[in-house]
Amino acid sequence: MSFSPEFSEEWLQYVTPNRRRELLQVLAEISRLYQTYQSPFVLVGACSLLIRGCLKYKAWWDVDLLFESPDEITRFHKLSGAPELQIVPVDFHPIDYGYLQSMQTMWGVKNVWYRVDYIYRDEYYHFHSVSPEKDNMYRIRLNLNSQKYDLWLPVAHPWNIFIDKLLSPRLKFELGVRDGYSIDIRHIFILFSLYRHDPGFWEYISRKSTELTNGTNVKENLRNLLLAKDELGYQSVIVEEKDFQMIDSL
Amino acid sequence: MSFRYEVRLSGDVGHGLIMVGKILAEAAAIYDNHNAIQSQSYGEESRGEANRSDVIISDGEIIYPKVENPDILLCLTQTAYDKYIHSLKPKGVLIVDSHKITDLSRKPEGTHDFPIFLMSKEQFGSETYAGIISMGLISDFLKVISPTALQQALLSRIPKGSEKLNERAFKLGIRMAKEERGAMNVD
Repeated sequence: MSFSPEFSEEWLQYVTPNRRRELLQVLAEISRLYQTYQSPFVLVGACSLLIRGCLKYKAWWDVDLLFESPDEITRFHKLSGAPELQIVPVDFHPIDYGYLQSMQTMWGVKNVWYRVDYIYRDEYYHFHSVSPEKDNMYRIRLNLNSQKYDLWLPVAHPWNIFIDKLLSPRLKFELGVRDGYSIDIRHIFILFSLYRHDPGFWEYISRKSTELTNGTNVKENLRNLLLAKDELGYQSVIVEEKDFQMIDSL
Repeated sequence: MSFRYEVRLSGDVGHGLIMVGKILAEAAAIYDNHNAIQSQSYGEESRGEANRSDVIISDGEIIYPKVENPDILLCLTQTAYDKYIHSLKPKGVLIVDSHKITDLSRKPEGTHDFPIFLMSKEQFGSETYAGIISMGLISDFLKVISPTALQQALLSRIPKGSEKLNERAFKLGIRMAKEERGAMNVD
């Protein structure tokens, strides 16, 4: 197994010290399942942004795995498990929420628990499987307290996450009620601030969003979100006229 | 003596309860050095379902990671109350909004109703702060997470520049709980 030096382990410092070992064990087991069974999933959500270095604060981290199909969720769930790992299903099968299906589980190492959600959303596995990079594999051997953890799994690209969150039906509701506490809205503003000066980012967003049936909504949703930033409590986020010009050109 | 508390927060999209659940867990686990678990369920808005955020806090190991019978149940809508009241532990604490929940078919002894949305609107001009006010209420009943830890966790989660208003909302919740308990002569 070879390891990519491009990804760093800096993200681990944003995991509270008394939960680091357990998160690495959870990710190592997920990696093992990926390698052993070629389970088709991509790590998405906040954890993917943490590993990618986009989120730099200590927080409560969950693991979200986006699967190719509900059947693959069921298969993965049956295969998962290691001697030192407890897996407790919160749901016993994928629950249909309309725009996605999700099965919540809890993975515990010596009674320190992480939530691991298995998600299916039509079109999105293939959407996240292709990114601006050669591949989206995170390969790293991490050392913690003399223990080695081999992580080898696909991690969603932040630009894909940006589009994903902008097209979430949940965002529409949260924006409608001006929910400044929305975690998705927080992540969108962070990503916008990180990448807004990169012309490659805007080109990619313009092209990539056409892959999704409702991709044309990216422009309107982003525009509405930025226009509402003060009402949402994000007065400190810088938005300039040229940003709106970039959005108009999408 | 070891403790394990289960907390369930339920309401609508826009009440910020998912974030409040994460703040409770972060305050407990990151700043107060307890053990904690947080999970959530997003209700389907189009079907009028409630959002739910569950938190378990313990000073020891958490053997079973699911909230089954919460010690504290917060309901900010009638739908949330109808759905979750049956899960409340027999001597648990129920916190409801006094205007949004009008049909309290089951009103346990530990029911506390507060004008949460009204206070949010009166004090801050919007119902947006109901979730943070609720967090202040819960912290006064829960007592195992320090207000300092909650404040630290809150400040790390909210947009920069909104700290003062959110801290005021949090403290308002604590004050409302203390005033009610003082009026009820409860220790």
